[in-house]
Amino acid sequence: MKDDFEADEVMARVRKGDASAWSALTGQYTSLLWSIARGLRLSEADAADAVQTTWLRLVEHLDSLRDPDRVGSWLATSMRRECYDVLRRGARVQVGSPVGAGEWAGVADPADPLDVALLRDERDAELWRAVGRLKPPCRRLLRVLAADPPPSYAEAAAALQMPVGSVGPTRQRCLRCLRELLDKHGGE
Amino acid sequence: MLDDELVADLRRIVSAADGPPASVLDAARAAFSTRELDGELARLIGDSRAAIGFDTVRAEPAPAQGHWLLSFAGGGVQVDMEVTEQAGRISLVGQFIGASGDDYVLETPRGRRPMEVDELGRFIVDGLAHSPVRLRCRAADGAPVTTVWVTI
Repeated sequence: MKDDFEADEVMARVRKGDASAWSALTGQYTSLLWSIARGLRLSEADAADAVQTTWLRLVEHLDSLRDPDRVGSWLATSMRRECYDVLRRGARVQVGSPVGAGEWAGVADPADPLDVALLRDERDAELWRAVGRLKPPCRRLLRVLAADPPPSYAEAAAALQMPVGSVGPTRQRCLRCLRELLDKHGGE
Repeated sequence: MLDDELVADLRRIVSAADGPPASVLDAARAAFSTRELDGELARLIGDSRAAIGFDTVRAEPAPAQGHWLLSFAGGGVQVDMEVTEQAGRISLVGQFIGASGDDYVLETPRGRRPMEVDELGRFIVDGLAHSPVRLRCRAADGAPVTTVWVTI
């Protein structure tokens, strides 16, 4: 699925301190990490913190990582745990005003994080709304698979804590559910 | 429509409606500058919110009361601290055990600031925002020790 991204080669350069290799790594996986958090309905602020913390943890573990060629799965697993930590700690209820200009205010999203207003095309907006109506496991899976660039199935499996062999069949089933939702609401 | 086409449509829509903001990508790139090439890592050995390490002494405080205890150990140093929040500002109150010298630093991805630590290793830091943080000090032999990142 990844045409020109060789994780072990990039990681070897990163370990030597090559900042452009690090940029390539973050370009490859930040969308995946973001999609894990947003699929779990973390607020933008919490998602941003969790993504950043995951990258900081990778920097911390750069030299001790056992399988640098599987760094994507490591990141996805680490991100998933970070998100569950955030959810377990509970939404940060902010009583007063936000922290200040330029600071993230850690408020959980009240409901649906899907911003339909940004989609001009009505068919796109319908598809987006249908994703929001999916059951959580399907929504999470499709969010992860829709990351850009797309994750490998191994990375998606790590992100979703499911066996690699289930990713394909589950994807098929979830897309069927998505189509059913589109048919149901599209015909109204 | 084929499955692959539908997923490709989703990818395009997700990128437009809920892709990672530029600030998140910038922060990811900037994280590389936090790499430590020397020194020891002090790992998390206790986290009252995650029920690591504190099970025997935990008195079940409600999370809303803000009792959040963290302990780190590594490189011959232990750091214990409590994280509290008031009106959106976060304070750390804690103690370094086994550290030496006066080279104590609080680090966030945005920068570093020196910490004031008394002769018993105790510290109070006020006015922090929600963010990943880590603490740096020197072990008895002068080697740098850095805690793992924790998001407060």
